[in-house]
Amino acid sequence: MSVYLLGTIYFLEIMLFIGMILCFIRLIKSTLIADKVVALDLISTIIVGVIALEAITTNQVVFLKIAAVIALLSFLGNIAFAKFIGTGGR
Amino acid sequence: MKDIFVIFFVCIGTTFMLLASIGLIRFPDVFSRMHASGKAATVGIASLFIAVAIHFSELSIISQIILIITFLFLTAPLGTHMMAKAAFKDPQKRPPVFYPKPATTILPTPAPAAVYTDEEIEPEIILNTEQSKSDSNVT
Repeated sequence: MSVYLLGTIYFLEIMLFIGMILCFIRLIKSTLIADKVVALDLISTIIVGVIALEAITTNQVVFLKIAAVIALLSFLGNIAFAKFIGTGGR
Repeated sequence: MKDIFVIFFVCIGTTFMLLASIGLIRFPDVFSRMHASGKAATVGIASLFIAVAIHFSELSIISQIILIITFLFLTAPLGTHMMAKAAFKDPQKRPPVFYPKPATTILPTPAPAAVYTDEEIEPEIILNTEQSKSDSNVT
């Protein structure tokens, strides 16, 4: 693995964390529940991307399974929140 | 040589994810925010996993990555669609924000009404469509 790949990946991880900070700003600022749920979904998607980058830097395959599990859990949480909002918050 | 393709796909994926976050900040409405995060994030994460597949380049890992990409492409629009349906029926929701159309036709007397906006946006102008329709009927 070359140095350029490692440097690029570290730089791009910082970029992904900046994106996550933007999502947190939206999560704090908005007053609507659906808006917050969309922000949380994007945060979990960014976390899956960071784990994929970690799989490249550490040369370990186990991270892919972790990424699959986190994607599944975020989807289930999204569906549960959608049901919760659709029934009027009850 | 392999690293060049990995760097290329990783850069594309991260750019799309960052664009999804910026769209989440910048867009005025719940539905347009869903439009930003539901599509751009899906493409970005698919590109990231393609980079991982190129980096490892073994058959077992590639099949696993195909499984993950298929799962994400199935579930991300599904979750976004369910959230959009729920937000549309939400009693707490605000009506969507419309931008004024580009002024190609001569507008009737502009009746700018204060519009439903989010808290951080400047008030936008909604064209009074019924008034313009009645005016066009008269003329």
